[in-house]
Amino acid sequence: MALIPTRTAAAAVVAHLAGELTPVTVRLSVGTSPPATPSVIVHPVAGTPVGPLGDPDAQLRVAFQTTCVGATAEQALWCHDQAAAALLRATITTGDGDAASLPIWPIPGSQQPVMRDDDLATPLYYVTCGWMAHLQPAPD
Amino acid sequence: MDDLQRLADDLTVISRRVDAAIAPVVKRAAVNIKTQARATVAQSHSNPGKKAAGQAITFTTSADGLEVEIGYEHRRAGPLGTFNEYGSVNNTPDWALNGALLVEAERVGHFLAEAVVKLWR
Repeated sequence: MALIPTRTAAAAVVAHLAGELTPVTVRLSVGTSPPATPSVIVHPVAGTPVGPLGDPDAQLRVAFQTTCVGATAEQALWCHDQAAAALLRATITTGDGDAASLPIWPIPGSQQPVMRDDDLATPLYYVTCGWMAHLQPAPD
Repeated sequence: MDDLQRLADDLTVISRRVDAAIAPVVKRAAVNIKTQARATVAQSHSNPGKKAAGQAITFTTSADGLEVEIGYEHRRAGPLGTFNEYGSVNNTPDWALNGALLVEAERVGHFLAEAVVKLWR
């Protein structure tokens, strides 16, 4: 059984957020500096193959972090609220249709307060939150 | 009602036995998280300051051993700890603590399930 690629899982999360959030810019990992505001940056962690006894690598558990960026603290928080509403208990399907997720859930305790990044020419605010997506092969 | 009361009593007894059994497991998990998180930071950062901050990951345990707080020692690491872990606008998070916690939480969960089965006698 082929592993579900983390790349396609991450792309599915980005596509889902991009489809749900306007006028928010959504991207995978860090891009040009400074990023557009408001924006959501998705940072995936390489997934862990999991599965039942008979097929222990059939599924993929992917953790990812959303970094929601805003020009003000309020905008960063608003951006996070939009992203959280789009992700909480959402199910996503990979672009090739080969895998679909169970409802996505936030990782308890991973949420951070609004922080300011002063390393930029113009400081920006950001809110981070960790999420977990569990993908299974789509039924034939 | 008798069956329900017996079940409630059993669960109370089991809970106490599991608490006694799990304290060393929790501490072992904390050590594993600390070790793995430090290694992740050391591998993922070339900046000496960020690498040094990784060594400030430590933990404290409650008196009964059932609660552990793991994180960067703020006095030694300062804001670099949060920066390492969660990144920033232009920096990728390394998730040293979160990643290690997810792995250990699963192991502790398996142990708990096995402990309940074995202790339910």
